[in-house]
Amino acid sequence: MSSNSTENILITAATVTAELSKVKKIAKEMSIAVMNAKAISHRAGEAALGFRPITDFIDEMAQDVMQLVIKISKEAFHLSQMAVERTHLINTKNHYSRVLNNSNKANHVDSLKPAINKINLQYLNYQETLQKKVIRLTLLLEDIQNSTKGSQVISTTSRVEASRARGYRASLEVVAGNLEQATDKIRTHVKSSRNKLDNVLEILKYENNR
Amino acid sequence: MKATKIYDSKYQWFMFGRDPEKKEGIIDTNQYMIKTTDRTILLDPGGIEIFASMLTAVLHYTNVENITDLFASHQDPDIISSLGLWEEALPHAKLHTPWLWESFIRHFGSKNIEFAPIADEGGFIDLGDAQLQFIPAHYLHASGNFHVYDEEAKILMSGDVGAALEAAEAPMYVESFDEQIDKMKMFHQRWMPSNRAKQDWINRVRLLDIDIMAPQHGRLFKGDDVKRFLDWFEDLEVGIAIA
Repeated sequence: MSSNSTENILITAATVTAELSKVKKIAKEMSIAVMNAKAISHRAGEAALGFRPITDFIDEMAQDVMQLVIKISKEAFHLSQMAVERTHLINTKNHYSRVLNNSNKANHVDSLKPAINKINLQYLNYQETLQKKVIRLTLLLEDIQNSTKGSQVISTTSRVEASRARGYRASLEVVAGNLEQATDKIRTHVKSSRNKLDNVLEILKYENNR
Repeated sequence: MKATKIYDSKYQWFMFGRDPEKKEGIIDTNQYMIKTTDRTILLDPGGIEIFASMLTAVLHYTNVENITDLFASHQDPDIISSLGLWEEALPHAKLHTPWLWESFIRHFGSKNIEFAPIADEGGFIDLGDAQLQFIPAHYLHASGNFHVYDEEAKILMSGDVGAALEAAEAPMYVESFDEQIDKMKMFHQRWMPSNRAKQDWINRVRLLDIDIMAPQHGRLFKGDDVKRFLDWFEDLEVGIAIA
């Protein structure tokens, strides 16, 4: 149990929120790019027929990612609130330990034991809840990773379909390239968040086993 | 933390303070406890930093179950920022505090404690053996502020009125009123904003029979020094920091 671990959780929650805000921005940009691609493939007519289901897929993926980001941001905010609560609980535990250590000559020290037992129990329960919260966040981040999984295949297919679109080939190739870059960036941000959460999880596990 | 019994009859008044473990740079505070047969009230129980020392000192004299009431004269951190910590040991205690500050004091980590807001006119609390009055002391220095008067013990817990900034090892009682003036003049002139509020309080307090005036910082006033203080305070211009 240390203030470092609390700081770590607070920083992680803030970092995850910041990373997700970047992910949301990228997903929004993807959504706009998709609208643009839809307009191009509409103009290309028959030649870009194969490109249309691809744009629908990308659009759906961008919407999924944005929804997940909103959900995870709320969870991350809750995590930071829990980290603050945890600081209060740790401080309380420390204050009461000091009282217990200094009160061996006090006549009424035993009257404090129920309160100390309650605080210790609260702390253990809190650690458990916190651990579950971090795992839930990790799983939600995994959902983002899963949502973007098909993007590489789609990106390759997009290039093939773009090459068939004759006069619109260059524009659609740019769309395909952007999609690849955007999903790469999303994956990088999500991976970084997951690594941070994994660290917190390790710390919490270590503290619980002590 | 030193504990001094300042009244001992059917019930007791204790003063806690002069904490040698207190961190550097934190103002020294006096906390008070009134212990009757089956109830105990803590008056201005103090800040977070002194919580452990204060609770340790209290446990020499009473069970935590017997602490049924807390009183906070106003909202300052040195008065009641320890609230969230006390709550853990006193889940059934009531906090008596100016109604004005309830929602502010809840910022001090308070979750469950029952607030007993004191109306501007003041009020009473019956602790069985002891009956206490909450005396209005608004603007001295906080805009919602009360002192505690015990008619039987003839003690007025006077919050920041009578306070002095001095060394942590200072004696418990004022030994020379004239020497005390230097230690409390600036405090009163700067912290107390209103001459009108000051006069209202003096008029009210002159009607009380007081043996001990017990401020939240510095030394306690006993006997004739109480009247000396009231005369001195009446002549003192306060709220002087307006440039």
